[in-house]
Amino acid sequence: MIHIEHLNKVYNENAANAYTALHDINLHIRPAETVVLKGVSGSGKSTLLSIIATLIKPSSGELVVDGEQIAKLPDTHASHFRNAHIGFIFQAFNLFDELSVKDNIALPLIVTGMSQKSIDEKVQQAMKIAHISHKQDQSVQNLSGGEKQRCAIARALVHEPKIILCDEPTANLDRENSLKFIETLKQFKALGKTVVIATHDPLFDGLESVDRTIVIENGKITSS
Amino acid sequence: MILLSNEVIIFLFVEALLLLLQGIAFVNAVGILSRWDFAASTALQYRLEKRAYLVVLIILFTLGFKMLLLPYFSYTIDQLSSIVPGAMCGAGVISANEYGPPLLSLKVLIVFLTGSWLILNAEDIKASSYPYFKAKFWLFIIIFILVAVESVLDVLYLVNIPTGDPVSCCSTIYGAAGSGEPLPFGLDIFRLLILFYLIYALILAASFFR
Ligand SMILES: Nc1ncnc2c1ncn2[C@@H]1O[C@H](COP(=O)(O)OP(=O)(O)O)[C@@H](O)[C@H]1O
Ligand SMILES: [Mg+2]
Repeated sequence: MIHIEHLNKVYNENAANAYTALHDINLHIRPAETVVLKGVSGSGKSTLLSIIATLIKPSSGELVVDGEQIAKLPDTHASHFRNAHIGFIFQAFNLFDELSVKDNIALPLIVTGMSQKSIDEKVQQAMKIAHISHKQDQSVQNLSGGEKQRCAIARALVHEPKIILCDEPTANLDRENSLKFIETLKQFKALGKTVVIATHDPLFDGLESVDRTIVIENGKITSS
Repeated sequence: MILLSNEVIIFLFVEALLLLLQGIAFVNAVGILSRWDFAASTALQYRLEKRAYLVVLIILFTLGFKMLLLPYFSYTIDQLSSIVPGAMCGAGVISANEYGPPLLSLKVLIVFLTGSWLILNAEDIKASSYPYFKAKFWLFIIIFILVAVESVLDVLYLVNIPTGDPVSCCSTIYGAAGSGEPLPFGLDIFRLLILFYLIYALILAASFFR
């Protein structure tokens, strides 16, 4: 599913403040696998997720998703790939506070030019999976942290991506909501999604729904 | 001195700027082409891909601008007809010296190649694996060489427009006086046919690639 080989990322290449955030990463993630990417702050988790999401390009190395060289796609093609195959759940949720829950979730579909009817169907479906249907007409600014995250989950699912990337999904949640998030991992699994979760939260240790934990330290994978 | 005409100064200034930009793109294009290997995932190749994106933007900008400069050139030449004795329109001015007619043909050729480059680029961008990457960079290299020749000819032509001796006026050129060539800009039937088929091929190519 996701094949990463000899991948390096240097920020500010050719500048005095060049910084190597990822060193020779080799990683193979199977379809429908749920993987935790564990590492302290600054270890390169977000950088790796952003590269898989085609939000940034590596400095060298290969990223192949379903046989396609993703890292080498020109920008417009990269964003097509992202819109079709990647659902991203950010630590800060990245929702539009003024819009309603429903509209936030519909956003990724609106840009595809899909008909309003199928948009509505898919949004309802995603809200059901994420357990946020009851708040659909509320504006996001009135939601609690846990509800915001469920909204973000629904948005990440609404275009039915194969791959779901979560960057520190529980960093802004209390314990109860963190446990709820861990429950949704089971649903991702039931839907056959390939999931990568970047976190340093010990709540993810030894979970049944996690297939593998990969440890990243100073931009290097030390155990996988 | 004809060079002091406002239009000529503007024309040469803009052309010099574009030539400079294209020169930068040319140096980069040669560097990129010589090391380009799309299959590679090396740091070099990633850098080249990033650089190629910028170079293509410069090429796109300068070629687009050059397209606009051609009508301006015609306008300039037409304005000069008021200074050049005997000339009543651009057609007379263009044949004022031996550089004029080949310069005009070269300009037309460059427009065709530019059009082809734009088509090639549009196709290349549509695909995700740069299928026409090398072709479009080679084509640009050819265009740049022609543009460099064109710029030299432009200067030679404009410097050598006589302001003393009369040139043929439009009525002789268009054959109204009975003896001149019947076609504008000194084109003969043969060259006109070539032009026609070039346009034809370009239209065909354009619709084929759409
Ligand atoms: N845009 C950037 N420019 C320069 N350095 C960066 C940039 N983004 C991240 N870094 C550096 O790269 C390292 C890894 O960052 P990140 O991937 O965000 O780590 P994590 O998500 O594990 O906390 C950090 O040292 C960070 O300072
Ligand atoms: Mg991070």
